[in-house]
Amino acid sequence: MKKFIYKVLSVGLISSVALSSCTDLTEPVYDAIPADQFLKTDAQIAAALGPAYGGLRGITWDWFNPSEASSDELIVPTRGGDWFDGGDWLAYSRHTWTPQHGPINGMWGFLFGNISQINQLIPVVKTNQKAVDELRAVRAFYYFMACDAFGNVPIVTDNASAAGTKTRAEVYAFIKTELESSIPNLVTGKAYSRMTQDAARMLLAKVKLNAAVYSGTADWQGAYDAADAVIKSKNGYSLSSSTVSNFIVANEGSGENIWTIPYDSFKAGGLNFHMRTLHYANQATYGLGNSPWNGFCTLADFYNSFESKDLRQSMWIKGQQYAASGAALTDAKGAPLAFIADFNKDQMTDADAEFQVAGIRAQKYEIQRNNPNGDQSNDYVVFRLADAIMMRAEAAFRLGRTAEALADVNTIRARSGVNALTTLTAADILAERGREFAWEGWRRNDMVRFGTFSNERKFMKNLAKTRELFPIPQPRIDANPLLKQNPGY
Amino acid sequence: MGFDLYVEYAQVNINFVQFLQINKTKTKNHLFLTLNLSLMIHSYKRVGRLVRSGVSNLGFKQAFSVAVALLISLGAFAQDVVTGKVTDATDGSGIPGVSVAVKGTTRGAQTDVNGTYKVNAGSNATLVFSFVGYTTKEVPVGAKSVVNVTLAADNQSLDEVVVVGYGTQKRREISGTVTSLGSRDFNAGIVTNPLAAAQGKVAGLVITQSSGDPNARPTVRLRGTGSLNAGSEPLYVIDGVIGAPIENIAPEDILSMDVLRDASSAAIYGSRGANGVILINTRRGKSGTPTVDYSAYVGSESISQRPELLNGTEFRAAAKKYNQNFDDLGANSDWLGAITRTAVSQNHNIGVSGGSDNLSYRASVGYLDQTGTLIGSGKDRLTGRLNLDAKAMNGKLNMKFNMSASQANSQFSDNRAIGFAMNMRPTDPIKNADGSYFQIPGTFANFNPLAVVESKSNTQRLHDFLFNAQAGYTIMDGLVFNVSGTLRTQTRDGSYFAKSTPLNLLATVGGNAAGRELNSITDKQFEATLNYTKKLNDVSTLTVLGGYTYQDVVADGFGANNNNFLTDAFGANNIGAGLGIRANPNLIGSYKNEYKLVSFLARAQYSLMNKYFATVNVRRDGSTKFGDNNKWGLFPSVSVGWAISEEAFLKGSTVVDNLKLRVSWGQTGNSEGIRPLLSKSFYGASGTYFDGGANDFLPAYSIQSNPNPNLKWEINENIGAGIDFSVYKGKLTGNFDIYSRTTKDLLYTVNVPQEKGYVYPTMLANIGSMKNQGVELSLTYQILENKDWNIATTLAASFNQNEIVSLKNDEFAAPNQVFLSTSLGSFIRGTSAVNFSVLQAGRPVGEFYGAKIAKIENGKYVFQDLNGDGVVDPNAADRTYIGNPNPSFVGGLTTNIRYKAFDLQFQLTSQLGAKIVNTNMLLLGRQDGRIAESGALKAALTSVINDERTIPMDYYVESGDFLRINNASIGYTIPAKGVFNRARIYIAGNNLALFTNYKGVDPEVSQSLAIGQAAPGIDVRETYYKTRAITAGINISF
Repeated sequence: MKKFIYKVLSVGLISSVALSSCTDLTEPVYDAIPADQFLKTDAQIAAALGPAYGGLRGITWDWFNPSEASSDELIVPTRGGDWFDGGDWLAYSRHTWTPQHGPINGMWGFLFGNISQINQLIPVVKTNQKAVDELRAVRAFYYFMACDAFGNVPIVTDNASAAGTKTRAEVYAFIKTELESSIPNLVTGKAYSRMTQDAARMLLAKVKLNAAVYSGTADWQGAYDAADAVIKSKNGYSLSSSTVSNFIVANEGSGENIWTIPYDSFKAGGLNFHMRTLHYANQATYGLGNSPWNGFCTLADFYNSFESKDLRQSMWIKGQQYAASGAALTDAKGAPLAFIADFNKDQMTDADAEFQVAGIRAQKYEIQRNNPNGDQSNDYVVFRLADAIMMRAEAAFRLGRTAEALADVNTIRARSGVNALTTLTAADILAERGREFAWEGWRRNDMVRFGTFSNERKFMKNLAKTRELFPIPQPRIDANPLLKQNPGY
Repeated sequence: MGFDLYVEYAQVNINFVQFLQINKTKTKNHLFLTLNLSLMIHSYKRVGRLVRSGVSNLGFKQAFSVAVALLISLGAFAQDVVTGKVTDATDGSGIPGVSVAVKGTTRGAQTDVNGTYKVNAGSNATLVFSFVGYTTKEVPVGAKSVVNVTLAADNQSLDEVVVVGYGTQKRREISGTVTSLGSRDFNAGIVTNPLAAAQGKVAGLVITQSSGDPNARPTVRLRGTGSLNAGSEPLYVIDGVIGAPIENIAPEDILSMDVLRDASSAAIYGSRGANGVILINTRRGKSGTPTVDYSAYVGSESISQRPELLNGTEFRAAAKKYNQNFDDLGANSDWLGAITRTAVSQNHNIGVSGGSDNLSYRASVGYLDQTGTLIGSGKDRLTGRLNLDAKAMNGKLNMKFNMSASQANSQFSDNRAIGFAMNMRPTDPIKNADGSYFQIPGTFANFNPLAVVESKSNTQRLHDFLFNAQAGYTIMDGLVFNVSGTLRTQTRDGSYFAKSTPLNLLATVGGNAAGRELNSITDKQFEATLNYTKKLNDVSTLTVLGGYTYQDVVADGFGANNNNFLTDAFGANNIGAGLGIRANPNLIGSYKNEYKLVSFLARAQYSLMNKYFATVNVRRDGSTKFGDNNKWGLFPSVSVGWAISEEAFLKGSTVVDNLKLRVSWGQTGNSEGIRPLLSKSFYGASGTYFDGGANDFLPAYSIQSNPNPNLKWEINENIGAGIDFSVYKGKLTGNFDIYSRTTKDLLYTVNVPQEKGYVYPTMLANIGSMKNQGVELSLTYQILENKDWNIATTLAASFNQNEIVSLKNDEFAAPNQVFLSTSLGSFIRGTSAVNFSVLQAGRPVGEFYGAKIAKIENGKYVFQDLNGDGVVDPNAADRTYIGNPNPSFVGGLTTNIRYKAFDLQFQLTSQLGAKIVNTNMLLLGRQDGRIAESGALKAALTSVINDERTIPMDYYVESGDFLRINNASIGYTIPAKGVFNRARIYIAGNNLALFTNYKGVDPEVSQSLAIGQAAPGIDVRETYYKTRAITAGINISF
């Protein structure tokens, strides 16, 4: 019996040693940093602030596509099944999107994911008011996009905010206040790609220019003043020799660009407009590492709005295509590869002869030759001086100062070699903005402001004005019942 | 089953069972006598000890009678001598050691190594042939002087020892739902994976092999899909070691597989038992003269079905018919033929076992070399295993050492080539006149598939090493303390290279590219259990188990990629030489993570009068992966069994041999899908940002996960009942089970409301629930059994119905209708938002959702106005449920026929009720397919469809019902001669015939569910085609 007790005891001892050392369930961490242990050094803070800007790179897809494909200057036709994608692209150009539209849901994620990220960062840098204000101004840019696209969205500034829908007017007021209170603290000089005072003023001008759309009350003078302040900035922005020169691969040297989002073929991907627009065979034209996707093109009416001597015409890729070697390219069926401006169906089958060549393509952003990657190194231009001039012109025009407006518009026209206008209408301003800022992500915004977004045009027959706002994506409402759907959906 | 008994040393009656096992060991004739003598002495010793330790009289009597029989056989003298041979019903081989008793007397004999016997018996005597693991048989002698007998393995032997996790139980006493499969039950032919060996054998265990890739793993589902995100694979436990990779165990090394089908059995595995547990036991040595087993086969595999594509002539005809112009280069290329081949495989396995009384061993080495039918794919594998059993301290200390090592080299081909082969026009040549690959310059999807498979190499070397030591010490009668420790290390060494083939437009950045990666897993496990068995009184026994387990798994690795090398000569072997990394510093990386699982477990088994049985399991699991609010989970289960046939009113029935009712309830968990670091918020390097000061892009840091302190396991609650039965002396045996399985706290990656302050867009959370209900039936019918013939057939069938009950909790919700992104294949344009499958409460998982066709008019789809609003909107409002991809019935029918020394075995498998989306037909089977830009199916030539709309619709949803002759073998057992104890030669075939109405390639399409990547029942064109195999093999032992 004694022996037995000894045995039991020894078993018990072994067990208890094992137990006491092995019930610790603290999670071991090796390749990540617990959130409460990061942001302890300046370098760490800088690296964490990075994504506030890095996140902006989503703009080329999540903001650009809905803003352009729903407008009159860009269409993504179905090409024999290619680019059908469940009808998502046709829904853009036909204004038939629904709250289930996947890419619109993607835009919501882009905007509010970045807003949440900034909300997380603001308390981290709270002792440095300059950093806080810079983040607020960047956040205001996301809110501007949210206000423009969705209108009635929650205003969330920290994790304690209720995420219920606010009216578009409230969102507008919030953005305006945020910008006006942060601008004094922003970098006054030039700081490439940063939200400087000039960049924030451009944003403020843009917001105020749309005040009537957003809040029902126009603020043309406010827009005028903000744009004017940028034009007269002591940082000395000047128009480049040509519009497209602001979009070259190495466009960081542009004296016209005020705020850009940097991209790099290897290190910071996402700028790939050439992939979306070029024909597969254009791979040989530019010596590309990847075969492009043959999708995006412009519409004939928009293309025809350019006079033949307009230097901005150089953004278009039209007619017969050639390999770098000079050989004429053919399409998949052996027919000459020549892009045509006009086409009759937005949903083409293989039987439609033009299905692969329909539509003029664009190279607003210079195509990076011999690029092994699908992404390019041009930096995305958000704001440039020409926009400040055109915004000032538009505000002046709305304020009744037509002569002043005409002078500004003609400044822009002169650069591109087209004759000065002698009279000015709202339609002239919209058309000029179209030519100057074609494929820069502003067309939907401009058309809504000028009231033409829901006008009938080729391939667009849905005249419902409620389409001026995108729907709150249904999955977001399912996940957050505080969200309210926009009217008309 | 039963023939190969797996014996747990902790079992009290082990000595006796082992004794019997040794008896049937097939040793050479002259050795047998010595062995028997030594065994006799041995058995007397043991019996003596057994008597002292109070083991049941039954055991003693049997042991004694065998011993007596032995004595008599040795001292036999000639008088009315009856001779004969006792053979195995399955393969006709002689069974040594069978007890041949003359009924009503003490006379008897035992068969020798060849299975022959000699006994003194008169013409009115009846001989009783009995052997453990076989059904006992009585044969009247009559006028015969030669009585040959076949014994059938008793598949559901009540004394069979079944491994139930942390111990064993006799079949008779089991009240949960456990199916045992012996190595004899394994499928024939090219079977490189234990799962493939078990396909169609276990009711409720659905093994889907949609791919013919030697490197592909089948999808395994036990009682339906139980999870959306956490994985639906069962837990594999190999010789008591949890989570070892099952695909690299040579099937030849396996002795038995026990499948714990219900939660009451699996609850002892706690937070990982939710999808059932498969316990694998490898072969072990037995004391005696060394036995050598060698088995080998060579096989040839070819693609069983491939899509029927237009040939050159048909393509030209189609282009003409549909008025399409194209650049006809005059070829007639079979692109699929160009990238595929007939593949030859070979497999060898040699095992040596033997030992002395106190030390036994089995060592084996296996080699598999399997070529893939797609050029560039293949696998070879070297496995080694050493199992040692040692006894010390007068048998009080039992030790086991299990060591295994394997090296598997996999060559992966780029399956996208299959899609490209379908895209290519048959009129284009495969190669140019100068021998270079033909390539259309500038194309989206017409890449020369031969260039793709021949220009890339992607290999992986997987090393797995496992060392496990177990010791059991009998502290006192009935009280055994066990400890087990395991170290398992796995390294996966990947190597990738793409040549800078000119005009290979799929060439990556910089022409050529190389990558290397090394990933390792270090898995340490410790277990300590205390097992106490107490005979409470004459009629009841209680067994209690308590234990503690600890597991620590570290995964780490690093990888480097580079590109733009000056030469292709380096391959992936000089990765620093490339220029790519100068431009792109993101080409290197490393990681490390770790988790620990700590558990306490307890079990009580109670048996009353051999009639009433109850088992209660409890396990408490704590894991580092769980959220702070839910660190520990409790997993209870209870099951009861009633052996009705032991009741007075059935006892002695001539009809019913065995009838048992089982009822069980249990809760298990599923936590395998929870990766480390998901319950808290972490920062990690993510992307880059532009730094004005450095004028460069620097690594940015951002939140990589949202905090979820409530993160925990899924709960799988299983309630079920079943009966086991055997009638007419085992003529018909089987079991029937009914179950309802509910997964609660379903893990799902929700899109968190980012406007509510969640930085990371998604979060793994426990939301919703899912239900599987079904019945399972196993039946074995012994059709014919006599001295020349033995025919038996076994059905394993299951019916299951799946339904998602809810996809929300109080805090989070999935969208009301989750569309599963289903890739229809790479490089298929315009299909990115064509999603056929949805997840929705009240519907089965992955149900197809889309428009319904009213008619085809002028080649166009005319869709139904389902909501009757006058507007036909097939993309949104006018959609409905158009098919359930989950099979309602899955079954396997295995028939074994033996005639004298010949054996024939074949297996039919069938799956009914599942629907399939025939994406090939949708994309390439219609007139406007892609002619003349791309190849098309032959169907395009006669198709009435001329409509470009690629949207989910019922028109392309087909029935996936099929019946397959899954495998068959025919063998001949050569009479034992010379040094050979046994030799069998056979030929076998896999996937011999398929009967289906499905118009696609093969209806056994992938059932895998990976949200965002794959959905069940979508027949993706890049599926590596299944193969048909013919093999010839030999098994010899000496």
